[in-house]
This record gives sequence, structure tokens and C-alpha cells, in this order.
Amino acid sequence: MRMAIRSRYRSIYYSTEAAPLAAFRVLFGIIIALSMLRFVAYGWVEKLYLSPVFHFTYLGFSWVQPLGIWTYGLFLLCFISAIGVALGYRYKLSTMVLFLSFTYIEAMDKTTYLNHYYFISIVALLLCFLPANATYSLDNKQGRSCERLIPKWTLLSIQAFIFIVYFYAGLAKLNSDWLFEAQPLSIWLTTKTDLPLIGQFFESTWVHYLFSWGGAIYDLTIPFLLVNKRTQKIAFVLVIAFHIMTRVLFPIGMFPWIMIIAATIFFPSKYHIAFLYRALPFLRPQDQSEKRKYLGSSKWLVTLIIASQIILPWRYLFYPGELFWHEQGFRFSWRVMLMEKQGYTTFRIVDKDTGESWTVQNEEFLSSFQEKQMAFQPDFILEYAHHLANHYKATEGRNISVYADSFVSLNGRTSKAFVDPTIDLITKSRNFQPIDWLLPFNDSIHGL
Amino acid sequence: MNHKPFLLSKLVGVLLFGVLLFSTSCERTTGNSDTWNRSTMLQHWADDIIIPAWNNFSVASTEAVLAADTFSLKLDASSLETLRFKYQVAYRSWQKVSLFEIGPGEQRNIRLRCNTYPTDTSEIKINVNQLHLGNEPNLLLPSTFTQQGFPALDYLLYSKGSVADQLNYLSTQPGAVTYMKFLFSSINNLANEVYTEWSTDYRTTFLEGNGSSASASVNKMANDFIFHYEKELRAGKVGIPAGIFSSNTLPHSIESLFNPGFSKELFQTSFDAHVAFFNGTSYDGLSDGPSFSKYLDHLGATENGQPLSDAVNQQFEASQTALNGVTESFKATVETDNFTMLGLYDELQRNTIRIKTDVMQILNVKIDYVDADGD
Repeated sequence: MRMAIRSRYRSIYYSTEAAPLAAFRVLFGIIIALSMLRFVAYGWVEKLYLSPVFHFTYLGFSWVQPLGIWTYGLFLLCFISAIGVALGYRYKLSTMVLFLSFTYIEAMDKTTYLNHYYFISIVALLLCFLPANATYSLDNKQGRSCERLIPKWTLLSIQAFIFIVYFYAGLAKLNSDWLFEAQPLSIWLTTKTDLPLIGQFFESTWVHYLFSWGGAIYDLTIPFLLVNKRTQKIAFVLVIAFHIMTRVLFPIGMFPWIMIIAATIFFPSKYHIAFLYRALPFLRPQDQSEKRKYLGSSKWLVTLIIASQIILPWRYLFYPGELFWHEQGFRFSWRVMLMEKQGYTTFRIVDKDTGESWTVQNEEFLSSFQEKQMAFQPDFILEYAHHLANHYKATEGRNISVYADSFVSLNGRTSKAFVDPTIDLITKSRNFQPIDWLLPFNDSIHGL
Repeated sequence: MNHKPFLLSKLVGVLLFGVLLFSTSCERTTGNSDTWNRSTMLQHWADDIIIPAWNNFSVASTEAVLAADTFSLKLDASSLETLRFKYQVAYRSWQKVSLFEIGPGEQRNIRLRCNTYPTDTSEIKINVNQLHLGNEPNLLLPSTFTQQGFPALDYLLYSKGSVADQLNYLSTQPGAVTYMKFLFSSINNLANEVYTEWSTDYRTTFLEGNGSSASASVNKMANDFIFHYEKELRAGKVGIPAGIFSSNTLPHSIESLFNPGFSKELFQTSFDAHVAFFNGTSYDGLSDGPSFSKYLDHLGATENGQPLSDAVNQQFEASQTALNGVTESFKATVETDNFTMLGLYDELQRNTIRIKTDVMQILNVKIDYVDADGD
């Protein structure tokens, strides 16, 4: 047994074909480049980053702000670096720039937070430390790097990350709302009756349960099926079927395509070699005789990244109360498609010096999308309350208290009061301490 | 060794392909009586509510234009009284279409052009003088939205109070009557254009948007409905004058400022239009059809054991009760008895919360088209 483990451990240093990682690099770079084009073409740079006068930031990262008209330059930089990654041109620099520019874009306003953007950031970060340019790259052609074989752990790290994403997404679905109420899928599917063929079934309760349970089983098993050589083919068919289904049902943009591409990393290298040979003849390596050892130091950074992915999703355990209600530890945890949450939050201002009082018209400060996202997420509510205090201090010299009147509905439950309306939010600071200014959920959602 | 995953793969496969097989083996049944039919609802909205409303507004504004023409020729008290009456009919008719800006109305900024208040009287005076000199103001410019529409006509028709004084003002102020006619006809042109478009091309577009995406008609109407209820009815007509959003009350920001006795009736008309649309009552009030309330019932939406639609309607009734306590003039109420006005606001607010959280959740309304993975 011990021998087996040890030999297993050693095997991660064995050399493996560089082709799977190279193919992943190419496809990943292309899809990110396309995502950038799509984002700009839809006018979302203007809509999400340039028109709003205020942006919701991550704690400690409030210095990450849109750059005015130069924000387009940032998207261009991200696009160019993604192409650089795809071609394997000055790979180290390209991956670093891709990671930094993409992550900066996502951190400019957390209103737009999506798990798959976070997924892209982590993959880009991993790629910074992996020899994905070893073959079929411009670096390779220009003699900066040339290896047919790479250490096996470098390939395993990407596979491990994708494994974690699926498995944790599955674990998160093991909760009473998802399994026993079929929520939120029940709400989401019921209004999709207009879809051809399948739409007519979406008002049936059994279909909601089928999709809920099917989704949970899919997320929990697909990583195993992808790893296992005997089940890989059926697994890939399932990956395609599942993600196309989600694409049809929900507005989730590029996510399905990214996950379909990601799944190919599990395939035997002969597929990647054949793919690269046919698809990228201009990058075909001439001479692979020269062998250089890949830098070993990155191994620990990669291990650290993977370890953080295993640990971070559990940070919610440090926060008392219902996770779905207070959302502390909800983001960056592969909790995907778990909630239908709607809120309505308005803010009462009281001038501490004059006693004057009024309610804020949120549209003066927020876009409709920001207002919607703010209304049910406590960290947004607090940041906005502080912004209001700063605003009235700066423009009118007022010292104010801010009280929130907030109502939230979650997974089909009747809405109830969310923020304690008697607490001056200005007395609460933004930090990682448990929130003590929300009213209790008074219901329970069991599960992980 | 790899036995277990293989079994699981079969399980997942059977589950998913089972759905697929079941879907394809069944004949597609259109108009399935079990599922909610969006097309029928959209057709009812278009043919029985929205298009009749625009038709009525088009007719009413045409009659107002004719009355303005007559008055400009006669310049006497009785034709001014007729004009004031026709203006009120048209303004009430406006309240019933304001909710339906979707499509052709939105394209023309019709709500901003017809009903931006408080109006800018000093700019109106400048326009009157300019028009007298032969310079027509460009009413398409956003900066002129506070110088046109019903609020500007309210000033031109009521600012001096009595019929005699108003007649005196209109007949002695060069350009005033011309400007008034100019405003009436611009409203009428907008009304005719929107009505024409609705009764031809846009009706088709509206009905074709029978899907569930953010750009589909039901989703847009749901957004428009709550937007209008929240911003126009609750905030514009009541909240802002009552001082909810400011440190003092703002009685001069009411709708129909120069004829404040008309403000409650305008509110009532708009309020009724919301209630009727929510419940699918036809424009003539004689029949009803599919609506948000019936859709909610169909989806089984409840609040504390009773249908959610009933809860919304009971809150509408509570709002009506609060409204009954308000005098005809919202201005007088704000100035002398703002407590009553705040009471009306609170009742309206309760349904704002209910619609923005519970109703929007069940109807799965999307605010805007952006990617979202549901978290």
C-alpha cells in the first residue's frame, strides 16, 4: 500500500507529452480573445464600466477602478495577451499580462462577478507557472523553448483544478433547497415553457426534480468519469450535452464553451497531438531533440494555488447564520446557479446635525444592474452606504447616518426584511468579521 | 477497479437521455392547455388593452387640437372652457398610455415629452416670445422636455386661475396661443405616430416576442410595469411632493401644479390603469383575459398561504383607501396634511416591495441583458 502511494507520488514527476497542455493553451487563449471581442461588441464596456458613476469593489481592492476611455485599452491588452497565449509567443509575459489584465477587469466592479470569470483568472494564473508553450508555440519555433515532454504534475494541476470546480459545484448542490424543493430550478424552468420540444415539460414538478438531481449527480460524477480512461468518451458526450442544455436554458454567455474546452484536457495525448498537427501546421516543431529541465520552483506555487482552491470554499464555516442569506463566503467557492434571490433596498439618510431626513433615489448613483445586485448582497449594501456618507460629506458637508430598508426573497420564499433598519450602517466598517446587522433568516437550508 | 464510475456514468446517461427521448418521442402539442400561453397573453394585452389605449389617446389629443384651433379663432371664455375640458380628457387618456411606452413610444421619448414636471415656466415664457418672433423651439431636444407636454399646457391654460384671467393672459400675450397650439399638435403627432405603429408593424413585433429572454415582450412589460409603478406613480406623483426624497416637502413638484385640484384625478386614473393591467382588465373595462395576476395564480405563487395575486390586489385596495383620505389637490394635502400623503406613499411602497421581490422572483424577470450564472 505504502509502496503504491509512493510510486503514485513519484509518477507525477514522470515526463508526459506536452501536447495536451499546449492544446489547452491554444483553445483557452482563443476563447478568451473571443470573449473580449464579444464583451466590447455588446457595448458592455460602456454600460458596465464607463457609464456608472460608482463601482462596487472588493475589500482591499478599491484602488482597482475603470480607467475611463483607457478601459478599452485594457480590453485590447487582454485580447492581445490572449492571442499571445494561444500562439505561445513570449509565453511567460503573455500569461502574466493575461492574468493581470483579465483579473483587473473583473475586479473593477464586483457587480459583474461570475464564477466562470473567476475560473478564467485562476486558469490564467496557473498557466503562468506551467510549460504550456513547450510545443506548438512561437517560442518553440523561435528557439526559446522546445520540449516534447513535460513533468506530469504540470498537466495534473490543470486537471485537478477542473476536478475541484466540478466536484465542489456538486457538493454545493447537496442542500435541502436544491434536492428537496427543486429550487431555484423550479422557478427558472417554469418560465421557459416557450422552448421548442422540451418547453412543454417545464411546468411539471418531476422535471424540476429530474434536472436538480441530474445536475447534482452530473457535477459530482463528471470529474471521475473524465479522469477514468474507460468512461472518458461518454463523459465528454455528457459534458457537451449538459453545457449545451445550460446554454439553451440560461443566459450564461461563454461559460458552456469554456467548460467544454476545459474537459478536453483529460483526453489521451494522441488526440491533442493529432489536433495540433492538423490545426496548427505553422507551429509544428522542427527539432525536439534539445531537452531542458523545466524550472522546479513553480511547483510549489502551483501546489499553493490548488490548495487554496480546496480550502477557500470552506471559509463560510467561520460565519454563523445561513450562507445563502448573508453570502459571506459565497463567492469564489464554485457555488453556481444555486439561488434565485431578489431584493429591494432603499436608504434613509439622517443628518446628524440638523435632524433632516430623506430617502435616496438609488438611480442617482447606481445603474439598474448595480441596483439589482446591491439589493440582496450585504457587502454591496454596506459599501454603498459608506459611499453615500462620503458623497454627502463631500458635496454638502453633512454628517449623516444611513439606514437601510431592505427586503429579500430567496428561492421561492416570501420576501422578508433583510437589513436591521434600526442600525446606522456608517457605524459598521467593511471587513471580514461576521456581519451583525442583518435580520435572521428564520428558516433553514440544510446541507453543505 | 473502475466499476463504480462506470455505473455512475450509466446512471447519468440514462437520466439525461431519458429526458431527451421523452421529449422527442412526444408529439409537440401547441397550445397545450397545461402550460401558460404567453402568446395569448400578449395578444390580449395588445388588442384589448394597449392598442385601444393608444387609439383613445390619439382621438382625445386630436379633439384637443381641434378645440385649441377653435379657441385661437374665437378667443372667448366658452371656447377656453371647452379647451380646458378637452385638455383634461386628453391628459386623463395620457395616464392610461403612459404605462405602455414600450416600443414606438420609447423610441420617441413620449413619456418625457408629454409629461415631464415640474415644468419650466421661465423657459416657456422665452419660447412664447421666441415663437412670436418666428423661432420655433426644437421639442426633440432633451433640454426642452420641461417646456412642453401637458405640464407646460397646464401653465398656459391654468396659471392665472379663473377663465377670465386666463383668457386675458392668452389674448394679450403675443405668441402664447401659438405656443399652446404648437404643444397640442406635437402631442397629437406623437400620439398618432405611436398608435399607427402599434396598429401595424409593432403589434407583430410585440407578439413575436413571446419568449422568456430579457428582450422578450413579457419580460419587458414586467420591467416597464414595475418601473412605472415605482418611479412615476409612487415617486413622481406622491413621494417627491411629500418630501420622501428631500429634506423638505416639495408641494410645487406635483403633477398639474397650476390646476392642483386635478392632481388626484390624474393619480387615480394612472393607479387604475396599473390595477387593470395587472389583472388583465380590458381597456373598456368589460372583459378580462390573461395577465400577470393570472400568470402568478397559474404558477401557484402564494404569500402566507393565500395567492400572491390576492395579496397584491389587497394592497392595491389598501392604497385606494389611503387615497380616499387625500383631498382633490395633492398640493393642498402636502402643505396642510402631509401625514395623509405619507400614508398613501407607505401603502404604495408596500406593493413596490412585493412586486420587486416576490412577483419578480416568481415571474423570473431579468432586469437587463447581461450574463449571469445565478449567483
